[in-house]
Amino acid sequence: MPSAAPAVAPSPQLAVAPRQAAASILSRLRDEIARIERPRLAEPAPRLSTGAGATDLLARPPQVEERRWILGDPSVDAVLSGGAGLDLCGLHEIKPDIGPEIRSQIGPQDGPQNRQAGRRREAADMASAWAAALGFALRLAARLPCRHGADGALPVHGQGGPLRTHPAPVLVIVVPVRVEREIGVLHASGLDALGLDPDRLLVVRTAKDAETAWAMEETLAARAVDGLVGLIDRLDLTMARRLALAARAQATPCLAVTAARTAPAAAAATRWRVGVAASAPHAQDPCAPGGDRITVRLERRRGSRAAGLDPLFQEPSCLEWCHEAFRFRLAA
Amino acid sequence: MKRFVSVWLPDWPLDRLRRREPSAVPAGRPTALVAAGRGGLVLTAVDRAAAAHGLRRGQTLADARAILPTLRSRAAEPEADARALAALAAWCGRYGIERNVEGSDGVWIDATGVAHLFGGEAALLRDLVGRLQGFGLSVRAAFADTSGAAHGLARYGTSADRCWVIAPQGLTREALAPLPVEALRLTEDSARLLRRLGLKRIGALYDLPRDSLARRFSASRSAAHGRRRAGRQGVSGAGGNGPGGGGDDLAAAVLGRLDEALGRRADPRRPQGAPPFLAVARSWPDPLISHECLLGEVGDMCLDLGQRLERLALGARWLRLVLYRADGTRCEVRAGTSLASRDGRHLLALLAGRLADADVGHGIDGAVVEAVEVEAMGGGQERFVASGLPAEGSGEALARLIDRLAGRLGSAGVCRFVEVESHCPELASRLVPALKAGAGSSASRSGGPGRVALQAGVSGTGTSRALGSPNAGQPRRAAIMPLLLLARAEPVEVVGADRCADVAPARFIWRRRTYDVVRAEGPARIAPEWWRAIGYGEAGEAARHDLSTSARDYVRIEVEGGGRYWMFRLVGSRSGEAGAALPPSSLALPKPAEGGECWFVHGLVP
Repeated sequence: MPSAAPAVAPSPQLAVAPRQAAASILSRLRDEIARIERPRLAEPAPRLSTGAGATDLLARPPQVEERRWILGDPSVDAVLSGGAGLDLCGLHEIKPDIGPEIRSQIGPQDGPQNRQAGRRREAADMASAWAAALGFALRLAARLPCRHGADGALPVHGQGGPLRTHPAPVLVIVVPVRVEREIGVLHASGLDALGLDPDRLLVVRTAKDAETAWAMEETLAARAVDGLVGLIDRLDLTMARRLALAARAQATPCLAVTAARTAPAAAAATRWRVGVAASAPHAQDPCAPGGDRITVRLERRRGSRAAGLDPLFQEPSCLEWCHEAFRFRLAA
Repeated sequence: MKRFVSVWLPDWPLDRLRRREPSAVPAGRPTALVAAGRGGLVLTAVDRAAAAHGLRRGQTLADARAILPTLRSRAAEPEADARALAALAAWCGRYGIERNVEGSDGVWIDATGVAHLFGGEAALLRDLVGRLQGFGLSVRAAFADTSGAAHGLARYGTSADRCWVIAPQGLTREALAPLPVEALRLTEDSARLLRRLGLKRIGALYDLPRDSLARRFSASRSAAHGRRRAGRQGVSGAGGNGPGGGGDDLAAAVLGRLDEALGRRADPRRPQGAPPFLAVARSWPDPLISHECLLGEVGDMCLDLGQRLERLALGARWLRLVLYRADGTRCEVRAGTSLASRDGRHLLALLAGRLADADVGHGIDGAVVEAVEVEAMGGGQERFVASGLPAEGSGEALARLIDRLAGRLGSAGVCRFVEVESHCPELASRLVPALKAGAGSSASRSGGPGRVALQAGVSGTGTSRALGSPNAGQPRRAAIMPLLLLARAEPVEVVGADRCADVAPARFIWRRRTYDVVRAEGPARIAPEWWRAIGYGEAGEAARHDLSTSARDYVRIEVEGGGRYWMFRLVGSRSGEAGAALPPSSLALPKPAEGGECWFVHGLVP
């Protein structure tokens, strides 16, 4: 931005402590941009139905500080926008981590001749990596603050299940039939164990990528759900941009689980690479697996300057999912 | 008062053939359709040229060839004729929603209250006959107060140069009087009997005392029966008379037909398809070619339908849009809603998604928007008081989202979880179409937001589940199940059978890859419900090895590198001979390891 340069340059502070001042100015500008880019979450969403004026009066104004979308581990959350959490109005991309040996076999990018072979190999080897990525996305979604959450203290989860402090989010999960054949069908009790309420989920099955993208965009545009999880092979430039814009305009977070070999989407607010990890021994039974662990690397976060500063960026961190509190914990 | 149209297509089989295959019935060359009958091949239809030579239906082909050696013959296709007639009856929906085929060569239409849309009954019939003649069909049609009268008038009250006739309202009796008695849809026998009694016209039956007709019938019938002892079952369907004394039945049948034709007795008929609750129809003098035009018109019709629904405090659950193309074909677009709706714009959006794929062909000159299924639906204010939910707007938006998604992906593409009380994990959680689940799960007919369980906020359906479902009060989650369950359990090959003594195999091959098990938790036994094995006999030997009826020991394992899977072992497969005794099942069982154990991967625990 050439116009901003003369405004900053003559500042007297620059001469005194150039590094400090530059850093503070930069962070101020960054906050400013974040403020402009993110819509005001405190404002209630415009309702689509008729006669909504009366219902809006009853709705309690959602509290901004409760609407943070974080992983649950303080050291990880500190990295995400300085504790502000993940962008609730953005597109987040999650890619399975297929490990170095498979990656070298498949090749770096999806060339036309590589695609078929890559897909076949991926199908054979990557069920667990895909499942880990989907599991991470669903756990993130389970931690979503509920848009229409009423009473914060009311435990609304099932009778025998664990108590939650806020109602489970209403989600749409878009799953291509092809992926369903590879990694299986979502199971209600497994979702229940993640803290999601199966009654509040809508599973959309699609036959091809175009349908998946359409269903995702349509879901975002409807502004009817708290979040969207979509499994899609590739997000091209246009589609990613459209999804990001729709997510912003409708203030609905969008989690896209894309194939490992396809090009990353530039419009994503964050991009995660998720792989499987060996779990620690169970506390009571050393032969049994402990809490579910995954390796997570944050490859990209919009607004962050360089990918070298945070430990999360550098190399995969191992996160353990806590089944009781429905939160992530940094394991190693 | 109802008004019916009856359409008679005297040359239907030949007309249909000519329409499909013009060279099959060349003009000017006598042609007949034949089918196997009594005494060999029998003519079932003759064209005009053949009829001019004195051929008629029912003759044997040999006789006909003797009269006219140049006769072309072709096998009749009654099934194809019936199919095409059904399609034609469907097309006739533009003249009346309730219509169906009549016999093998006609169509009836309930045109009550429709005629004014065409500018009168005469204009309607002119339009109908003109269009059908434009298709190359020979047509006779009649308009009358009852379907029976219209049937008789179309077949016996018309002629080649006056091919349609109208019996004005209330004048059916007079219109029918000069027709021959055959016009009453009588069987051949009873018509012959009536003629022998001197009752040639329908008018002659009017003044006859009803019981005397029965007496004369039985007397004459027994005489006739004595003469023809061949035992032909004369009257069927209408009377059902036995061979002995059937005069009463016969008279009752004739009088019944007469009463039906005159409207003294109800003549219920089953219309084609499910009759819609409400319909909005439009037709245009010039066919609409562009999709934009069509969308605009359909949008208007949807708004109209929405207003009518609102007046009745109803909402549509199933919609059907029927488009009539200018070339006489039609196409249908259907859409369902998960929540009763009467918002014209929403209904249009549902139809428009499908309409984009519809083939307009040579243009659309008529359309009907039908609300096939409707539901009670209160006003907005009423619902607000009943629910008091702040998430009201969200529930409705969600219902519309479901509709839109299901409109493009099909209703099976948008699913919700339904929990079934079963021990089998693959049965316990099921994905069912969200459109149907919305209809079935809720007991309340209020039409409120409780219809869609996927509600934000505290939804009414949550309560109804807790009260209604049998496992209320029980914990929902007995054991940690996998997040992803494979569509069917996949057998694995166990390597190194000697290390199988523990809870899980130490190494196995799944999807052509070898896995080393590092940690394992379990086993947890899941036995099928006891009633599943009932049909398998006392020993239950077969049942024990069938996958759906045998107990399984589930373990959660972690392989080297970190993948976690949910596996099971078929209980009972450990003893040596059990593996050999496995019955052929729908599922390909693996080659068991040396110990005879059958292991399967059933789910992924990410």
